[in-house]
Amino acid sequence: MGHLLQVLEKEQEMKTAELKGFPDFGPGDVLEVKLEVPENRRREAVFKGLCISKRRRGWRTVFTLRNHIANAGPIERTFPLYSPIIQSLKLIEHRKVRRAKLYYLRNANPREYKA
Amino acid sequence: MQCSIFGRAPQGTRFTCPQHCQVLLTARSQPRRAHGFQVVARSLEAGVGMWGTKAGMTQIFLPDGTRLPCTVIAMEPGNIVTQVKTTETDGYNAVQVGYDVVKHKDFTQDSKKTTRRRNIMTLPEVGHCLKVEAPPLRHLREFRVKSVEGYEPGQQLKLEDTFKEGDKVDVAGTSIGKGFQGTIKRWNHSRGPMSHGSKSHRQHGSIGQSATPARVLPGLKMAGRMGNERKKIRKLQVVQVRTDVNALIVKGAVPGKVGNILEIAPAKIVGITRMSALVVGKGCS
Repeated sequence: MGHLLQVLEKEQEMKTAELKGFPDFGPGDVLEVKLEVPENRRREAVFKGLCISKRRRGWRTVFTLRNHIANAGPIERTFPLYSPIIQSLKLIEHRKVRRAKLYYLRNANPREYKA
Repeated sequence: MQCSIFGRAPQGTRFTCPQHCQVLLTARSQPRRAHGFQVVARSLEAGVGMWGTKAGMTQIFLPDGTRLPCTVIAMEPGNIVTQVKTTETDGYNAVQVGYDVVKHKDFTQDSKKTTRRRNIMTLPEVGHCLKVEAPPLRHLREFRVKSVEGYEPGQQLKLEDTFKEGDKVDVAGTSIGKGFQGTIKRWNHSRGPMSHGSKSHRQHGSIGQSATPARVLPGLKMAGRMGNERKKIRKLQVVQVRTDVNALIVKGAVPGKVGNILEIAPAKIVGITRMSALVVGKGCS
């Protein structure tokens, strides 16, 4: 059996990463995600937010973006990095942070995490 | 010439010891002894299945972004038909499939397996595999089917011939051992109140009546060893058949930890595959 699972996951990971060319990002980065929304006739949507966590698990990596939108209020979404609905990822700015998980921002004033 | 494992080659039908020293060996020339009783394998299967090894769980994306939790099952060397049983010779139809090739240091001369080492193979077991010119295989099981047509002893079962994408399969294996567990975890009983003077926090409650019957009825659900037993997960969907790496990817979880040996058979669905198994004899649609 060897490292069959690792090999299969790595293979998928490399293929998707090569296709989409994701930037190297982490907590504290402001990201812009271009999404293909299957519910909305595959129309493209853009989601912008501050990355408050990145769960690094190779092919199973997920990251969470948090933002505050004027009329809607605070909004937080978690995306699988290699999901087919993610079209592209753009790194906008990096903010200096001293934590790996910025969950304290959930209790903070929106101006601290607004992107 | 003499083989250090199998000894001298006596008379009878001849074949070579492929793993070890290429010495000519023999099988029993007489047909199998007729028993006074008939040993029948497990109940009728929907078709002949295969052995596999659990490689772990991963995720697979659907085009709409849905993540499927999937298990990768590796098909390691083996999956060779070691015996074909027919109604004429054995009283029922079955295909015996072996799995997991054994290195020759794991053979023992001790035919009663008194040694404490697990998974060791005795020479009669090795000879059973060599008889069909298969390497010695650690695990054997029979798939009882309506018709054994198309299966030959010594035949290598192929992943792509046995399963295809979208098939439903039954996966059986040994579940993870949980040790000695109480009734709450083992039998999903409810617990008592944790406060208000209650003392029956996680107790099992009453186990019977009084003077009649004055005993505990057999089969009562009580605390004890949990897990580490054969479990079958039914109707798992085959998501991918990876012939390049010899792996089967099914949706959902399968019993045991990574490295667990699994038996994968076409799903037995009464009225669908069981009926077609009766008509066609093998495979499921």
